[in-house]
Amino acid sequence: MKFSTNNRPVRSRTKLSTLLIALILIPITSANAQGILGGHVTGNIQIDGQTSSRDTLIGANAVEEGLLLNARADILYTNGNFSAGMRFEAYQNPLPGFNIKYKGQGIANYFASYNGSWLSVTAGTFYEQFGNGMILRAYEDRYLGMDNAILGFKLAVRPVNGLTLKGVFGKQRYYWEWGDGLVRGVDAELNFNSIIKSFAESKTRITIGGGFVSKYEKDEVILAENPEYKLNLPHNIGAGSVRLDLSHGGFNLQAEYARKGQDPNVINNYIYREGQALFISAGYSQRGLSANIQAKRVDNMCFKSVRSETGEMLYINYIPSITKQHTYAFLSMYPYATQATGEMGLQGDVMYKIKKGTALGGKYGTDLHLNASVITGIETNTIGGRGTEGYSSHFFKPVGLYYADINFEFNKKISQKLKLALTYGFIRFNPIVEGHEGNIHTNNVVVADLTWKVNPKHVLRFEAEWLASNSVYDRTVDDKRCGDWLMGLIEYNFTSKFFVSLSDQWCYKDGIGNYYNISLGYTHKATRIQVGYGKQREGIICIGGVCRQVPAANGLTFSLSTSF
Amino acid sequence: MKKILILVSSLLFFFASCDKIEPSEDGTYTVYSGAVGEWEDCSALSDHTHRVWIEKYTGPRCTNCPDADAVIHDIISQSQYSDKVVATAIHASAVFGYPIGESPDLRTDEGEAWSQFFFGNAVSYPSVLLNRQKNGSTYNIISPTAPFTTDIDNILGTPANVAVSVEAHFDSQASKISITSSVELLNNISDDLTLTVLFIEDSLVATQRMGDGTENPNYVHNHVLRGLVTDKWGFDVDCDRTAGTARKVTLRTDLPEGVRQEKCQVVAFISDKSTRTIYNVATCPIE
Repeated sequence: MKFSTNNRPVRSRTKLSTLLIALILIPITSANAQGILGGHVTGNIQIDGQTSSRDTLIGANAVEEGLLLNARADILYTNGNFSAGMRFEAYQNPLPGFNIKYKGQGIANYFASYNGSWLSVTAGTFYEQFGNGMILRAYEDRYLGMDNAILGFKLAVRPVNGLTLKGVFGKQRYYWEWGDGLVRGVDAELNFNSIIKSFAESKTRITIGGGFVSKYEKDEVILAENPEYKLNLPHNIGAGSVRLDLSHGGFNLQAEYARKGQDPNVINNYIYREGQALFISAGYSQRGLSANIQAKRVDNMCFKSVRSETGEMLYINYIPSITKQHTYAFLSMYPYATQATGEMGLQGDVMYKIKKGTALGGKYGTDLHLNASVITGIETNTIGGRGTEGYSSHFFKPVGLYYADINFEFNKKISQKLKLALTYGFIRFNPIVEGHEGNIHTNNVVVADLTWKVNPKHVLRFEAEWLASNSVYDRTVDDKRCGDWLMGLIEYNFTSKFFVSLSDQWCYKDGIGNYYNISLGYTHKATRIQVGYGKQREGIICIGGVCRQVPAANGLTFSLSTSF
Repeated sequence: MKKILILVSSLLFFFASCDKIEPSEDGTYTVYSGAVGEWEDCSALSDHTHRVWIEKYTGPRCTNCPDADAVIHDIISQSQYSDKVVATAIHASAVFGYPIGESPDLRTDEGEAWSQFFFGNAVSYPSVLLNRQKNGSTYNIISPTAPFTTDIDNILGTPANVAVSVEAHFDSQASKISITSSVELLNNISDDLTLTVLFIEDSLVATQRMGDGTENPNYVHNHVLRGLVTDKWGFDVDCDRTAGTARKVTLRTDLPEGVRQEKCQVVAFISDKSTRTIYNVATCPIE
């Protein structure tokens, strides 16, 4: 439900606004929101704002409106087994990088739910995931500006302990509308240790599961390469998966295989090849040591509820990422975006804690973390274009490097007051994953992060980063990440409530840009206010392999978040 | 056991809900869409008349349909409407459109698809659409057993935003019907346009169930949809959206099997690609 600023009568806006404000204020003003009709009201509010002035050097545009705002308020009411909630969102107008189709405000999410011991029912908008999400993952990420919520019904039944059956159907959110495609899905998960009594105490834990998701979309005219012919489109498209989760002591194994029927869509250029994906993760952990290896292969698994949708919305499924999500600025400068059309890869991850009291461990012990991942394309032997099988592919044949990352972290508590983290990363990045041609970027990154606890209420943190890259800025490509970079950051936390940080990212060779920032923050209980001023480099942010473009900006940012 | 049966039934339903498209002989997953042609500039049209397409959904088992035929025949016969309305009888629906006895089946795939699109499964024949106009968010469906000239007048009372013309002749060299349709934008428009071209045929004799329940084996069906030249939703008009733009296209096609050229007419209409509302319509015989 969207309240269009342009079209609605003032009278109705006033009434609706009053109702919404009342809904928001009641919990805040009534003793921490407890005890309404015998239930509990909880929620959170977040407001993000940004200004920007024109800066031709970094490519920032002026914000015509002066100020852009994204805001949201989640409110949840629970009373025993019953819960109901809503989320009010406002994008007046959307922050840079968020789709302009978000412009507006209204109730974006609303539901009522009953959660009993053997039955759960949700009516309204909901989120859900089957297994790793390879056939169904309805989720939202406010920082990516994506929300694949389903409006409909969700049912979960637990007829016996250890068996869960789920069913969902509905339509997916498309900004302020609902996509035309219908999504239906069922999933079953069986835990052997709960079902079989003699197996209950076993060190071996086994869970199996499987699901099936179908989407329906009505016919439309999509011309073939010969325009006198059109595609014979499937209207009901199914995807199924089976999965295993097994553990024994410190060992664990997780595997899922998914397959999708013919699904010609704009992302795969309307080919009829069936899709498949395999994800395997094996690990071992014990005190002070953990190791994990993951592998996956994805082939034509983009699954959307509307075949012609190109943007970030209406994804039914999600392909798990097997690259590390870095937090330091230069390590995360080239994040990897999962290629649902086709990729294969491996990731290994080892964490080891050198015991305290040893020569290397020192007084407090030392944490070591080694991570490596490599992602390639899959072989595609072209059969034809739109309206054909598309291509054939050998399952085990990788083609072309997309991304490689080897990084090593050294974390050492030097004394009661000093803590040091050193990180080295070697990253190779093929710009083709962002849709650009060009040479592979090879980056070496070094990060030093020192935290000095001056006293219990005063903490200083220093961060220095260096990135050496083979990439050179080219005006025609205009990738402002190219070149060699230095970064420094000082952060001061005092009285446990205030912080101030200064940082600067400077491209000193083969590139352009000097991005300085100052941030001030205040935290009180569950409320955090932050104000920043400076320059933002254009780039990509990725969360779980799903990415969003971030345009350059030069101005003020602020955010307020609170929960009750 | 009951729960398991419900679960299995549900799973079977979902698995059955997965379409499998078989490739055609050339290995593609395509079907013939309809003739298309190259658009080119042309001179402005001399006729800017706003016309109405009477799109009547009918069938031999629809007892009220003969009454609707009489109403439409009466409208067409009136001089103020004779050159301003184009009627087409679309036989569709498994309930109403199924032929009686040995009579020919006058239904078409495109007619069935249109009927499904505009009425869904709740068909109530006879039904008429006038230029596929909407009443709010839904299509304005008229029951044509009573005169509906007021609805026609409402459309004719507004100037046309788009003018359209059509000419057709048999090209003996190519052994094809050659159809040329011209379009002129009389005002700026906000969305893309599509051109749909179809054949209608008069004087088809097929058994019709009448209003009194009897069956008339000699019922004469006129202006019956016999086939589409283009795709059922038309093909894009390659033009600017600004007033004064004039474009034309020539399509070559075969006459549908069993259709008599001398009884046949070509109908061409221009629609809004998004809403499917028809801007204007024209008709001509095949010379």
